[in-house]
Amino acid sequence: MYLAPSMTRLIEELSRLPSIGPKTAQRLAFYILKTPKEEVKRLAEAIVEVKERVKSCSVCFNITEDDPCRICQDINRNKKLICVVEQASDIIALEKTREYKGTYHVLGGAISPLDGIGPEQLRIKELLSRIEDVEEIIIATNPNVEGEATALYLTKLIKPLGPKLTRIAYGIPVGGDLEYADEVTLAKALEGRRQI
Amino acid sequence: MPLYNSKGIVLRNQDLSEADKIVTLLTQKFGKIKGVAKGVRKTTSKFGSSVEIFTYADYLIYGKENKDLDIITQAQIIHSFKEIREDLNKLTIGAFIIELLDTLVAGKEKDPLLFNLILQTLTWLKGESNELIIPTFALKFITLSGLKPHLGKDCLLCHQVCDKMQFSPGQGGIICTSHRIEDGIMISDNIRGLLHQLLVLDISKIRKIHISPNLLTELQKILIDNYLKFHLQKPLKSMNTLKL
Repeated sequence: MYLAPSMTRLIEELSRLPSIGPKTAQRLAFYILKTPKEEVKRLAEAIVEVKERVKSCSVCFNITEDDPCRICQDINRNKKLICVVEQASDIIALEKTREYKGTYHVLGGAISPLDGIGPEQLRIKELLSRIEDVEEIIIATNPNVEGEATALYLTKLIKPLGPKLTRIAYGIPVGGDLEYADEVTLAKALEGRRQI
Repeated sequence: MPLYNSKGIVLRNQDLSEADKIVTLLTQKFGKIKGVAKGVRKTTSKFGSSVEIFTYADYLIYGKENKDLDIITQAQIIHSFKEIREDLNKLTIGAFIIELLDTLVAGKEKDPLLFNLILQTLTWLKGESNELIIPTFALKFITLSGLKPHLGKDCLLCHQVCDKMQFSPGQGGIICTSHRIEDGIMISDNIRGLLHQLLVLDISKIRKIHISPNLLTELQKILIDNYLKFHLQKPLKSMNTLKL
């Protein structure tokens, strides 16, 4: 099959993207061919711009265009409260709640013995350098094996240093049904019950 | 076997696309299988916790012949072994056990003895963190895999009983020092006896044995650093975090 070399190249580049196979890449390439030039230019520029501008914040390692990031610069935010998360995308999820008014710290992963990822591969040293004057550290790693292991390790490390240490709660999702909840989650929800 | 059920232990899980996971299970009836658990990463998932590693549960699985990946549709937890996941020390020991198992067990082959061994080991690990868990499991497991080391007092080559012994991973056990073997390491009769005990005794009896740190270092050097490494040909990833 003959295709213009520039088309072949575009298809090749597109098929590198996650969950895009050769067929989808071909369809996208033809779509791009049909689209007006200005629109295509905007897309290309947006891709280049994101690579050039976005970096990680030198304080909390969130993804940002300004360094330190907006959250770290914001004077209305409580700097004595740090929420520790695994990935920068977790910050987006937490920010959506509009409940949290403190700062963050991105670890860049979680301890995983099965993958050989130990604490030295995470940004734990950077977290320790921030905890002076901090009143509370919230550990918001994922509630799975790796996230739990990380939480345990951080607890062992930070507890002797003074700040109050908390872990996000486990439980039944809002709108869920007790009947269909699994045993482990339900047991954890009972364990973490609170007085009302 | 379109729809089948079996008890199983989760060895590993990897993220797949948006909300799914690929789960590796060691099942009682069908050996090691891989299956997709759909939607388990969503917060509303009914069986997210039953695909966490170490979980022992009754699984309902849908599988097609000649397909690598089955689909895990339901699970009823028998024991979650959450005590192992909630203790960093136990977790690293557990990770080593699981990785060793996952590396050496090839595929769909029923092995009731192995299933029993892993279940007994996890139950032991859940209760206490005994220093002998790793050596015991490693030795019993490698024996089940067909790589039983010779641990008798007699030499493998000349069949004579002698005072000074060496252990050779390549030859597969005890050899007297009169032979020149490249990979031989000196072994005391103490350690040889201990290894022999770990091999023949039941786990319920081994649970009562405690040894000194020096003896443990020597034991691990021979069993893990030499014998296991020789047969695995590559270091296990979880060995890095074992000394947390």
